[in-house]
Amino acid sequence: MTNQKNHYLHIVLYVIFFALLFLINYTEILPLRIANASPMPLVAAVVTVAFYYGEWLGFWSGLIAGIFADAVSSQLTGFNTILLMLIGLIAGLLMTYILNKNIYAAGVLSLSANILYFGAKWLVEYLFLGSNDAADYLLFYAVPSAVYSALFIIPFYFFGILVSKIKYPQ
Amino acid sequence: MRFFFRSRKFKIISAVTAVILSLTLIAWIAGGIFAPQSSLSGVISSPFQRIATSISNGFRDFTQKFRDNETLIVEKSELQDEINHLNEQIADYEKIKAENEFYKNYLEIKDAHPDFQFESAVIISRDSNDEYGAFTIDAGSVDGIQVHDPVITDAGLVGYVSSVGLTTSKVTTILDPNISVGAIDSRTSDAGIIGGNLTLTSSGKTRMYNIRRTSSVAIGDYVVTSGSGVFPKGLLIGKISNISQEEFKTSLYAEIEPFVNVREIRQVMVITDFSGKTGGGK
Repeated sequence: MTNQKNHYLHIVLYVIFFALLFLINYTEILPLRIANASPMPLVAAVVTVAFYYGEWLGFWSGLIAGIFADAVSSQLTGFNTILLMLIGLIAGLLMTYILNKNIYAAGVLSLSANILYFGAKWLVEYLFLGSNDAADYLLFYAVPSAVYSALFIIPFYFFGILVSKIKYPQ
Repeated sequence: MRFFFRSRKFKIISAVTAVILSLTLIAWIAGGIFAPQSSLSGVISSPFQRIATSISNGFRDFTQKFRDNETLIVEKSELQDEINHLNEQIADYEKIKAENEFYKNYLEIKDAHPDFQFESAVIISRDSNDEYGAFTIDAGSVDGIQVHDPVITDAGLVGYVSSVGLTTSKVTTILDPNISVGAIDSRTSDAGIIGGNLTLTSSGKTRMYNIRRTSSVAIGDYVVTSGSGVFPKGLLIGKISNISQEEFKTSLYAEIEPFVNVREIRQVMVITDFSGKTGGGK
């Protein structure tokens, strides 16, 4: 029973965490952009959930974060929903069946997930449309943004450890 | 991992994924509308976004005061330069007066175009991953907003509504390469098409391309909408800041400095109706 209460408490904490990240990313309350690198911290956040809680919660966190992101982002309808739920699911499966739980694994997952996210954005918004700016976007926007976004896993990794130590008051 | 693919959780994940893909596909086919799940999430999140945007704007205004104090000394010397510059400008008074008259006419859009129906909206979120300044406004289909409605401020054209949800809408700006606004040089009536690119967007500029090689467009000319497509005629877009030849020298293109700084605005007007509105593609 106590374990279940702890589990729900952790979910509530992650919901608040996601809500704050969402507001930071989409309202410029705390500008995160550095030169051309514009991060998508929700990707690393979904990876964090998948890392600590596996594919089931990774999938759901990606789905819900993606739906909210699609409501405000300028990208193709459903782009964030489909990609984030895929990232949550795949990262969770890799954690459950293949990778060890350490910061290196978290880093590799985050970098791969961000390369997938910004690579898909480049394909959909530039390459498939035959844009003259495709190469420029890839080199000067997509790559710096993916690397910058991947770095968010460092604070999120320690946030995950902190949350896992929080217990429901007896 | 084989165990996972046989589990109940995998079946639920597959079913949810199928539903999401179907809804997204419907939204793609319909075009210009939010997927139902995004429309619902827009309704839920928009009040929180509005609050966060207000805090963000308040914070920016507050810090701006400190930045202003630090720059006072610099500004003092700059003011002397400005006086000299103003003296030079007096010489061009007649020209400026004529331009002002022209500009004034267009600033008073509402008076000049009684056929325009406006819906005012506040910007509640900006997509930081969009290089072209796309944003979301707090008005949607329940407020009478439709896809491709033009979005303006009193200074000129901002862009158009690219997709509509119940209570929110997304706006694509004139910096975006996909916008294609029919435009003319107000002095020479030479026509072209407005659409940005990645290089110019960082300096807040857009581009007018497909201008005839024999045209007499000049730096400093004003560019307005031509009235073709879904934009009404005569909306101010910007001022020509540079003119170059296209890659194969078949036509000219002009760099446009928009009158509206799309990254700084907080409130916009959506033109929901005007005489001659086609309602077709952008």
